[in-house]
Amino acid sequence: MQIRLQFFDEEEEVLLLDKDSPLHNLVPLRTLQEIRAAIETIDVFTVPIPSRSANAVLSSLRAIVPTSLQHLRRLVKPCYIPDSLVDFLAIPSTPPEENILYLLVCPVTDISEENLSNFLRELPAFSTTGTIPRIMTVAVPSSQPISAAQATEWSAKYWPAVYKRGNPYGPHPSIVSQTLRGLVDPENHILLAKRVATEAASSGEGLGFGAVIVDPQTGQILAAAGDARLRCNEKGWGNPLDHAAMRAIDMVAQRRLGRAQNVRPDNKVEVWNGIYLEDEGASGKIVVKVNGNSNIKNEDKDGNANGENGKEVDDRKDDGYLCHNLQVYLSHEPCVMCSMALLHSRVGSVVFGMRMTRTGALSAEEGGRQMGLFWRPELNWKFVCWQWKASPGEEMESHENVDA
Amino acid sequence: MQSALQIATSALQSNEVPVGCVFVHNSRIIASGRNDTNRSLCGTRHAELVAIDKILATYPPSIFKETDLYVTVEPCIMCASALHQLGIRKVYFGCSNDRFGGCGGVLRVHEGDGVDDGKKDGNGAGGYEVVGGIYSSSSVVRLRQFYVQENGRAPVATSKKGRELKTDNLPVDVDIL
Repeated sequence: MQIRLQFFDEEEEVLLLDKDSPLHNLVPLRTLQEIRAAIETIDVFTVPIPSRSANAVLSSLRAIVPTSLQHLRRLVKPCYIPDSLVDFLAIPSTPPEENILYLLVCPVTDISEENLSNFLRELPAFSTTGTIPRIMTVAVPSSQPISAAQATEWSAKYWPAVYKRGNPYGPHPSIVSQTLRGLVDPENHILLAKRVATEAASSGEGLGFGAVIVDPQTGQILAAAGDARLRCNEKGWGNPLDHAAMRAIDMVAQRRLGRAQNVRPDNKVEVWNGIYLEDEGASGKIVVKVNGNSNIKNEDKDGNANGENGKEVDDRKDDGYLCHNLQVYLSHEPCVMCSMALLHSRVGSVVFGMRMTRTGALSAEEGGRQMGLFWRPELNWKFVCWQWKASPGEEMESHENVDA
Repeated sequence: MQSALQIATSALQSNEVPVGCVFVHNSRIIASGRNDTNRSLCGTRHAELVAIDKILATYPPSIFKETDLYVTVEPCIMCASALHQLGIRKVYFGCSNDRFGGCGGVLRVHEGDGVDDGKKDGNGAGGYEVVGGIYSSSSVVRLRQFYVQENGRAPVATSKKGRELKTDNLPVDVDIL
């Protein structure tokens, strides 16, 4: 049997970036499963066997233990055993002069050591020479590696591992790089989100959080909203749920609704006070709509109702459903409510600035709530998520104890 | 809870996902809400958030500390967090929501973040109590009625010709009201 230790089954698609590309500031978030997969190990039995009997032993074993752990090499030459295990697995110099291979049998939970020992002893590989199978227990990663780099790391640390193209625990590497390429001017949009945040705070109507939603098909900014939880109504209190992301999602819906054919013109629509932007993009002037509690619908800067000026750039023909595949830029990591609102709205990608370790719901890393809401198998939508690492001195105020 | 169910039924008639809710303060319904995502084209217009907006137009946010919610389906993760941030007193729900429930269905947002050092604003880390399973079979039937209808707004319309309304295998009711 030929053993090939090949870690790179497929060339991973690598997005080559210019040295100065602002995309270097984007750090992809790891999913909760990816993080768990990176640390969980499982105890398995391993047995040194004569290499000429490898095939026979393998096929006999198939009858008594299920085949699992496909991401680990089943038969390993001693030279590929990780350094940390070499001493532990060392074979006494006698008796065998012949080549041996280490067989990874199965998780220790699949069979008792005694039963395994009895079974192996009866096999010709051991019975003919009268040797006693030397069963040892080693800890190996329980789930498959998510990248070639991780497979290499595990191979050096635990057991030779195989990286199969794909990522069962998160977005496929090619999806991540494709989505990254699809981000429309992320630097300007994250800066705009921060600017909106600063304005929200200085207006006294909200905390320093901001959100921007961009249509990747047209590059147009559909909404830019600051937090508004402190804005008082005529009764004298605000809405604690007027978070930036919630308001931005709502503004996108308002825009679409202003043009939907099936909505009667007299339909009352609750309109958020918000900021709409000119189509030119982030560098354009911010047009602030101060519309009180009136029912103005999505007027553009000239006061024309949307749809009447012939510019229907954001009204995509294929689907006007929710925020399907739109890009969202947030000054801060959103709270549970806002993260789930983004998921319900089917957004395509999210970039946030400041991580919120107390309240943020997107990151799955340690030192936070570890919710990783952007990519969870049990939920019916997933999106790709990055943190924008600010240059020193450019960080936003953290508000760490507040739901952003 | 029967009021909430009635509201869910009315949502069904206007082609919305049939979820209804009422907020009760001092034994009085102060607001009701039903799902409004299809009409508003906004995925966050769930029954709870619609009703919360109504309440805040009349009452200050502090009223939620003495208010209970009755809703036909377990609040989703978003709404569970919203209710937590507002400091709701107690939530009674019909059927549980194993797709995106935030009160035990998928996550347990109602329990808070488990850290109560007094630093966090608003309701702090303390969670709220939830009671599920009230008229759950009626709530489920509403949902199943909806899913045999066509949802014209869904991004990829799937054929629902083969679907029929199932009334067997319903969850056990806890009709305590």
